[in-house]
Amino acid sequence: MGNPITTAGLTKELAASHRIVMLGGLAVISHGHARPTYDADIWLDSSLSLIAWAGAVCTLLDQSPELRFVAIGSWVVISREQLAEVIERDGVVRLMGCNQPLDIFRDPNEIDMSSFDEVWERALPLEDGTRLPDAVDLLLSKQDTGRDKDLQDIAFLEAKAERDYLEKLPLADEVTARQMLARFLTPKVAEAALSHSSPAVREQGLGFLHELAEEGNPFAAEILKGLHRAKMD
Amino acid sequence: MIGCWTFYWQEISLDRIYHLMKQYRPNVARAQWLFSMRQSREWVRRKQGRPEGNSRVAHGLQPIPDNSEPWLPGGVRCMADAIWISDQIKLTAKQWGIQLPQPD
Repeated sequence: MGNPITTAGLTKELAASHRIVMLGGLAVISHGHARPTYDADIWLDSSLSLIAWAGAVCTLLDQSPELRFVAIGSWVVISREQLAEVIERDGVVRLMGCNQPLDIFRDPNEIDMSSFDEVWERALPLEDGTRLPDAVDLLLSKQDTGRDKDLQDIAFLEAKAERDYLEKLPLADEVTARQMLARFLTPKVAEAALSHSSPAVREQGLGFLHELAEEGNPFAAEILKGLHRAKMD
Repeated sequence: MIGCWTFYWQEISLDRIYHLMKQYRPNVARAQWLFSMRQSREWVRRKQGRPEGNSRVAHGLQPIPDNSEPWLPGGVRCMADAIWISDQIKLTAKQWGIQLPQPD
């Protein structure tokens, strides 16, 4: 007889009482990238205190005696009493015993825990009560992981975020445009800012192009060369 | 005065964003690699006497229409949908004997 406890079912139940943002491979798949994943990653509301957070994930253990928490990397089983300490140390804990491992993050990679509210507000609500982070927030969680396997996710999400920015940035009001630029920047996005109606946004776009070129980004340098040629003509 | 307040509000708002969130920028080494790959592709196309952009468009024809389809019409509605897509990809790969990259 199969195990009736599913990762999706457990997550839905937890999402009925707590804010949960989907992360990792499932979030990338939800954004439209076709690739497989073997675990599920979620970010449980990190505005909860450490004790309240650990208490919330402990309720999952009551669903089945087969469920257990293990430490990421070492696979050491963690007792309820040790959970808060491990979470404080690792920022994530893995739940085993359902149809696939469920990694529950309190402190995700490269996203500040204190920004949970903002990520949640920007995220897309799903039918099971969880939310899908926008492409830029998801990109940040994939940045600087040092894992080659994240490169394809990064390429997909970068392209998606850039398409979205190129469509919205030129038409956004000044404040929104500057907020957008503060979150995500590519040479093409900086170039798009040059066509904005606000001189401040255009100036910021040009400044960012120079910064990117100075950092060694060849696409930014190419755009600047084109601008220079157009000026000379 | 209004302009001053507007400016003040904007600066606080942007300052909060810069403080809390890292601005995402593409990795420079990867951008250099992509640029170099693009230059190589363009060099090969020039050597082959092919046009810079899409060959059909260069010959005044319509480009081949995009025939890609999403796994689920309407997109993912919940985590179970995303898991289903992942499982379908694994099944398809197994069916065709395709080795998948190292998963998460």
